[in-house]
Amino acid sequence: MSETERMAISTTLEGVEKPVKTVMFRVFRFNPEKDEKPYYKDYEVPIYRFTTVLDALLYIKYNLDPTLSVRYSCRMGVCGSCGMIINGKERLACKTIVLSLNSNIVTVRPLNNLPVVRDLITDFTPFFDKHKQVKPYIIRDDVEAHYDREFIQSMDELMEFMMITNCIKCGLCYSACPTTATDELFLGPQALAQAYRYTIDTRDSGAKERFEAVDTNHGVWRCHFAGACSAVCPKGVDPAFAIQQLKKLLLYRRKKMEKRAPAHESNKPRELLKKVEYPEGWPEQ
Amino acid sequence: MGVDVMRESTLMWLQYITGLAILVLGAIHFASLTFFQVSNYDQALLYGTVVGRYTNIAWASALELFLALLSYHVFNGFRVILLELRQDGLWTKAVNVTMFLAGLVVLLYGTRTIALFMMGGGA
Amino acid sequence: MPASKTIRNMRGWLAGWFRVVQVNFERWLYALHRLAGVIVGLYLIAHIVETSETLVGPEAWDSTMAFLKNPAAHTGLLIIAAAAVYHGLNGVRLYLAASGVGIGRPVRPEWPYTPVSLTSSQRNLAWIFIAVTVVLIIYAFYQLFMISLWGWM
Repeated sequence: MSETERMAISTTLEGVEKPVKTVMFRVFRFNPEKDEKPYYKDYEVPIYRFTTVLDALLYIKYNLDPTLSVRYSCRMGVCGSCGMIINGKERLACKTIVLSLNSNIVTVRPLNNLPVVRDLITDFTPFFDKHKQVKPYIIRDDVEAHYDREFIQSMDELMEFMMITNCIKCGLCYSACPTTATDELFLGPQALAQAYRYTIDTRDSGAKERFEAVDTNHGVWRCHFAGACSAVCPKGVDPAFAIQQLKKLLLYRRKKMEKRAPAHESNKPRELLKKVEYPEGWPEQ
Repeated sequence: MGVDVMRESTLMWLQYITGLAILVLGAIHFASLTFFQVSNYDQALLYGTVVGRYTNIAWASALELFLALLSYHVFNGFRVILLELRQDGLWTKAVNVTMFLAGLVVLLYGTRTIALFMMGGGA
Repeated sequence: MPASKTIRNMRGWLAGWFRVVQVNFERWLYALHRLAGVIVGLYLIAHIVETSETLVGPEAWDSTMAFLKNPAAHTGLLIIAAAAVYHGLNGVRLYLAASGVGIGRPVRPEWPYTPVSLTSSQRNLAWIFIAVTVVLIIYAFYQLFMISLWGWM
């Protein structure tokens, strides 16, 4: 970047060249090998205009305290690794700009309702186990039969569950849900939303199996529509909507869904290898 | 136990249905305590008014139905809350059985009051 | 591999069910619904015992009613009435939501991702029901305090 470009940016965007302020980060610390109990430790972090909470935690790790453990991967709200509770609310650290919190003290602690392994890292084993329990995949007898055909689905049918496919399994809803706060067997908003997503999918015929999985003592009926899951979801999945829809299916359309024939496949084979058209002047492959 | 053999969705479907019916009967109950057939709350609580309703077939059956629906709805509600509180197998069984029996006791105890008046009992 | 020693970190019923700061509106409704349900449920048991007094005779019933006619007991009744009305009406909203009414239609998720279920008509319905509850609380106050206790009418 040339000097004039840098100048142009710094004059239009304040707080990019120099820190805007210093923010106190109050971070949850727990080392299972050394500590009997978790504790909070304070760190002073210089904050720029676009510093995210994840940036600040990495600043702490690189400059102030290398023992801080934090899980992250993509830094752009896609991998779902850096979910944590920031100033009392479940958020993705990588998508939370520190200045947007409007606070000079930022408290960071690991997600609720999942065992804490170390510092900000939680054990997602129960979360993924429940995800598996609801059979989050297309169930049909002929799925292997025609690898070169696709199943016919209309745009309207797709829109029924499109929203829920955005789920990145970050665990924010699981942490915010009031039922998971006491019920460790409750499937949780994420798994129940996935159960709905695959049940309503017209290509699927596994409604019966999935209903068996969710219609239990600790299944879909332990949701009381507190909506906490949807309020914290960073991807717009709206699990509360999906779970109410799942209840609707169980109450009114159980038999119909169980008997539903899955969408038939296209009678035209899919073009498996399309010839790539290179731009003019592109070297031959 | 009856509660063990039913599907959770059946239990909760009943929870919704009884809830809606309770809303209607509850509205009648509130009205009967304040303005319906009486002029105020004190008058509704007079011994004569209360016993008059227990011995009237329409009122008595409405109250009995109200009681039956409530004893299901309330104790199934308690069951839900208690199941969310703890999860080990013994607790689940104990909660299911206790709540079923407690609902039955409340139903029978309330029915006794109405039935005895209908049979010309009471004082 | 799960770590050798972890912290359980479950919120528990007080901080979990009744978390009311930095939460969405529906979460308040949920906490109140649960609280109101327990209040009314426990009152049912007391009420069944109370009404069985009529079997003992008019004197026993009248003395029980006279004993219960005081500001403290009537405040309790007012709370129970409010809880019953709120629980009943909010229950209708929950029933409608479980029937797919008032929670909107799925949308293509686009930034800033507003959840349809928390912005649809169920939220307006909740406000209407709260208004009805308030009106009925005022009526119950009129009956229990202004007429019964203070004898204004």
